Amino acid sequence: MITGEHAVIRSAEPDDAFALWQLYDPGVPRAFLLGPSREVMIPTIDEVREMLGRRDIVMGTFFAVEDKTGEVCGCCVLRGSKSESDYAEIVLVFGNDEHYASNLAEEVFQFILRTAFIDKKMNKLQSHCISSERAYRAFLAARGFESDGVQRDMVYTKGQYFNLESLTLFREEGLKRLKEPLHEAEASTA
Amino acid sequence: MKLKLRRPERRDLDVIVDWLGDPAFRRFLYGDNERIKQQMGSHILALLGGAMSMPSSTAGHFVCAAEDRGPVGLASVQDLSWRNRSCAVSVYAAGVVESERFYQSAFRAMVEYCFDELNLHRVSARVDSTNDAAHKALEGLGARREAVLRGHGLRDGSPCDVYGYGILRAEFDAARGQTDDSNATAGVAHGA
Repeated sequence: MITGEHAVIRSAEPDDAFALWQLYDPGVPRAFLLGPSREVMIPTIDEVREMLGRRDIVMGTFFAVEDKTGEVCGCCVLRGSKSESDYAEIVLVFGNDEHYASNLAEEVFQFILRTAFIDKKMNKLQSHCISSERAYRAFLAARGFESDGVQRDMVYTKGQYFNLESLTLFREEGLKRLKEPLHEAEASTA
Repeated sequence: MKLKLRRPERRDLDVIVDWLGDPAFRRFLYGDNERIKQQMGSHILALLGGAMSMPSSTAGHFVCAAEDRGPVGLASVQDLSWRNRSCAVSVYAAGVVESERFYQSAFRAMVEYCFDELNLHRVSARVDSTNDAAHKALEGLGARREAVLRGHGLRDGSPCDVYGYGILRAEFDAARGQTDDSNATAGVAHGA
């Protein structure tokens, strides 16, 4: 568990299923919703709970983000972060887009930097944005992520095609942006 | 080079097992993650089963056979999404001398198959930044280089760039309308 000034970041648990399931809002197209083959996937609460119960999948990769009131307001995920990989795909999603411009989001970003570039010694982080995800893209761009390009008509949902942009942050740039480490609680579970 | 793309069969087993000695072929099958021999063996047997005919499948392979030489490469459809009406294609050339013509024929046949038979809207392809023959082939079909994924692959332990191409059905139709199809040199066999 990581306790910051604005956020608490901890390994997601089966009890978080309902709160995290609410982030899978099909009304708002997001790269977060994309599964294999880049299809929009909307799991049931039971499926989310079952996934969170699999420690081999969740441990060290799927984190719940709480605000200081103790409400789960988002999550961050490092997809494909295996030891043989040199990079991971990150997903940072909040139920409310306004969080992307908050200090809470910056604390989560610092946690991601430390996990990816110091703990896992990765070479780069990649993230994807659907063309409508303006707040998330602005968040990434302001933190050094650079666009690799836009794949046209990649995702079909809500009766139309959306483009999908890939953005990358390399280790060297990421380490420059690392601030003071967050305080790690004694009873760490992350 | 006259190419025919067809589903793999048992008779292709020896050739495909030989190709496993080529790092480029293993990358074609598994990306940068090497597999152990047992995993590769079961995967090859599954590949020969040719799952592309099953409507629920999301991937399939085709042997690229030259008229005078037999199998000279393998092509694949991956990440097939009926919802997005899209997929990714890739092509492996097994030491083909005329690589530029081979890639032209193989990619053309695969893209035609995706649009004309699978009725897709978009086809993607990821190609190493050093594979000029594949770039030319894709761009000749009307595909656009949409993304440059920096340091995305590993070659001999060093990061290398990967180009992401995309072509929409309307673009392919337009490009096809400007070329003379009477000289087409490849196609996917019936029953694929």
